Amino acid sequence: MSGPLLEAAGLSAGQGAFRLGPVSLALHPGRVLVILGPNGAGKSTLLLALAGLLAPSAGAVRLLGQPLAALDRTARARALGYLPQGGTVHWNLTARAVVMLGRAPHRPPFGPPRAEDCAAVGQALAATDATHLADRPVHSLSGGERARVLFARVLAGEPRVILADEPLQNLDPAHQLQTVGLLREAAHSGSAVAAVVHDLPLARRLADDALLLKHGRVIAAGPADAVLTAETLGLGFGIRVSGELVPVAPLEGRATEAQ
Amino acid sequence: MIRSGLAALVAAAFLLSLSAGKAWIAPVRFGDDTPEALVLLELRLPRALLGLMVGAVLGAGGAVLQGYLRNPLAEPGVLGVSATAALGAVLAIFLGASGQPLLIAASAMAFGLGAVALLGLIAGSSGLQLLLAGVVLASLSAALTSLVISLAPTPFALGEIVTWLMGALTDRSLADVRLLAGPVLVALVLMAASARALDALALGEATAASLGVDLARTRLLVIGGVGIGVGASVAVTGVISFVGLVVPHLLRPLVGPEPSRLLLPSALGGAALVLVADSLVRLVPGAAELKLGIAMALLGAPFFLWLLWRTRQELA
Repeated sequence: MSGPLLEAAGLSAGQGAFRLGPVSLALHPGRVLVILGPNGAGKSTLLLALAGLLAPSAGAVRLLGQPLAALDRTARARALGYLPQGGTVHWNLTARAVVMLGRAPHRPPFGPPRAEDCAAVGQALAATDATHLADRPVHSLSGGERARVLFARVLAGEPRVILADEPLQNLDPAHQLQTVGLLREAAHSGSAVAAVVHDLPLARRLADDALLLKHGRVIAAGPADAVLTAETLGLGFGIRVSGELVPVAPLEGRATEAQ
Repeated sequence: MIRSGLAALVAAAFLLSLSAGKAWIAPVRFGDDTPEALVLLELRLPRALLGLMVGAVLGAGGAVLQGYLRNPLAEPGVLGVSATAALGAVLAIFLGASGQPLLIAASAMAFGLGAVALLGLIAGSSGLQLLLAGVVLASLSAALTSLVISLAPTPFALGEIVTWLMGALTDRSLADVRLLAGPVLVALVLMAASARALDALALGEATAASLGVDLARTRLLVIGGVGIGVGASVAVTGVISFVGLVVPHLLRPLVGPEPSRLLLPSALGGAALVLVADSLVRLVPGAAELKLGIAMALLGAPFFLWLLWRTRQELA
């Protein structure tokens, strides 16, 4: 299939008083879309709507060429991997058990994990440099270690589309670069990726395409080179940005609305 | 390993429940043409079977509720489900259903279902909100039950209600066993069907949904399973609390925290606990037998307090 793996047309959604959209975008195999914007711009809401976890108030999402609503739950869950922001794990499961949850859409409803499930879990743990954490209870892990395990959970599902809400949060620089590499690798092997990223230089490293949100509206979208410029980002975040995309100072009279 | 160990424990507890009493009877006497064999068949066997079923459904119900609400303090008794089911039964007795166990059971089940549904609606996933809602529900049901009792038309009805409320497996027949077997089976099947979804819920509702979990279906399975199971067991044996709290807690370190892996062991552990406790209350000296519900609360309440204390230690 040559078309986009995931496509949104005129997508609007609301959570409480907040209204997002309309947003139109397309996620193509082999490409990474980075979603940027100040806190409260609607980035997480957009990802929820794209994942079909939040019903749109207008517009529609198509996954693998079909309306999201027409796909059954399992097919949707197999095709789409969603990584929530700052994911919590409510029981003190082992890291391996958490990653195994990513196999849920592939496993039959009863019975122990099959060999292919264990293999996928092993690969995902290895890819995120978390093999040595496999038997540790997640509540004993540091924030960064847990973030890697939760990302491995998404990879274990072998999704065609990855929707990641701040996958670089809590990671040290080395593991940030590693996760950027993993997202790029996933795209390289034919998946489509959308990721919310706050770090501007890392965003440029990661992105093929970029979408800049503010107050629920798209203020810039297109190829990364066109969107991730000091000028556009400065406008979007209300800050002065250096040529290397390093935030330098808030604009006059704008205090620190964005971090 | 642990499952077969627990299964052996249940078998041993079942045999103990058949034998234990003011008169000890070896279970090998089954089929003899003696008074002992009659006691075994008519009194001890129904009692052991009821203990088995009630314990299993309460243990599994606790594990399921804890998994669904992602809260180790959840339990049908603590959350007022048992008390509300009891209100349903008391109301049925009050309205003249005293000779019709089927009607009492149906009323208890309906109230139990209502209680779980109400909790699911009010509490969402916040543990504190849920416990508060449960406490309110429990005291409201207790107050309404007291009201019904105070309005009881005759001392006889009053006695019947009070005795029944205390929770016991005494003087039950094979008819009670038949009445309970169906709902318990249905409840256990519903709970088992929710197991995999409960595991995924460890990652929160949104992520579970993204993994293909049907949240509405899961909610129905949990509400249906716990409401029917607890409602039916309360209808037949009165309120027996804390089993669903204690058992999953003791077993979690042994089998791991995944709700799906905890389900069957909790059912077995619950059965063993109720069977043993019911055997022990028969052995307590005295003219009147100590009620099982009271004994369980005497054991369970301190355990619950200890649990709260330990949770606080962990948070500190």
